[in-house]
Amino acid sequence: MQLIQNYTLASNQSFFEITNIPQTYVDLFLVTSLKFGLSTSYQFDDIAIQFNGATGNVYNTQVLRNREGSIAAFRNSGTSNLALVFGATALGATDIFGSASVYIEDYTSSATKMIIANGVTETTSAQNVQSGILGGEYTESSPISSIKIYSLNGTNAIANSTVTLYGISAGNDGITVVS
Amino acid sequence: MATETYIPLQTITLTSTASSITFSSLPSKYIDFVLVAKSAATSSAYDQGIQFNGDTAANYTSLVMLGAGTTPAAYIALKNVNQIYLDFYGSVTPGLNTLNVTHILGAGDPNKETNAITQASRVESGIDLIGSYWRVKDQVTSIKYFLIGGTLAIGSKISLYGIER
Repeated sequence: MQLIQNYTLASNQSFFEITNIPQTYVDLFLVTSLKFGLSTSYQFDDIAIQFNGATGNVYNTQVLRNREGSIAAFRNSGTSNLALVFGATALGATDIFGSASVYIEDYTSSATKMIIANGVTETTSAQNVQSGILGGEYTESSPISSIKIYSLNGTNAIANSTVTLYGISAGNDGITVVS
Repeated sequence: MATETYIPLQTITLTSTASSITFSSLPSKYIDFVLVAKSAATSSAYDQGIQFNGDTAANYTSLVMLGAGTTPAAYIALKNVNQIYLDFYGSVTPGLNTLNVTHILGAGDPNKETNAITQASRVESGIDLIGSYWRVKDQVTSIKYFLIGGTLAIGSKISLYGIER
């Protein structure tokens, strides 16, 4: 796993976008530490991810989430983004950043790309937590060359929010035998 | 120079069907491993499993938490079974539409049991989060990956990575 890009916000910004992703790895691994500004209209925030700027109905997800002890599952097909409904800080957790990791397989393939993600964050100042896992699909045939990360409910990402992208290689160590 | 934290040990993409894939002669310097599988079955739907060091006895336990459609978080205990389960709803079908990422923890330590944490996804079916362990204190030198009762189809791709501490 090799670092492709690490970016920490120096000042507030509406979204992150990683472009010109090298096509030399087999899989990608994205790690986020995010906090977006929220109005009082929203108790919780959701991170959204789009690949290659695709805003059509090309994403499918299955989510399992535990939000303050309330457990829910839901599946969404043909959506316009991958919604990580557990990875960003909620209203009230003023100094807390949410964390998420996203595994993206076979991102250079022309087939549907599959994604596994998980995340956790404090939800309120009362030390409650939400966490979850997500299975996703990006059904476009084009290889992934850019990733956009933004908030569905919030405004700007707050300074010190971080996104890091790694590339994962295939290979052979010359010792391990496969049969 | 960027640092490699997942060291690629082997990747295999099947060009013919197979009953299993075994990674052996695992270097002892790795304490943890990561198995990534995108598999297909020749027919029907089958769960994925792994065994360590050829141990086929009932020395494995898996606890599954899952989400399937709007059905959340059934907890399913698979106790004293013959393999670690790598999915429940994220099972493998003839379509290459599953992704499985399993962290195998403590495998290089002969004084401890080996644990595994798995995330498995087949979006049209469900997603699983599974905690497992192998109740044998031994260094893992081989990992057998297979479909429980099924056959791996052409195109199945399985990778193993090592993590040094």
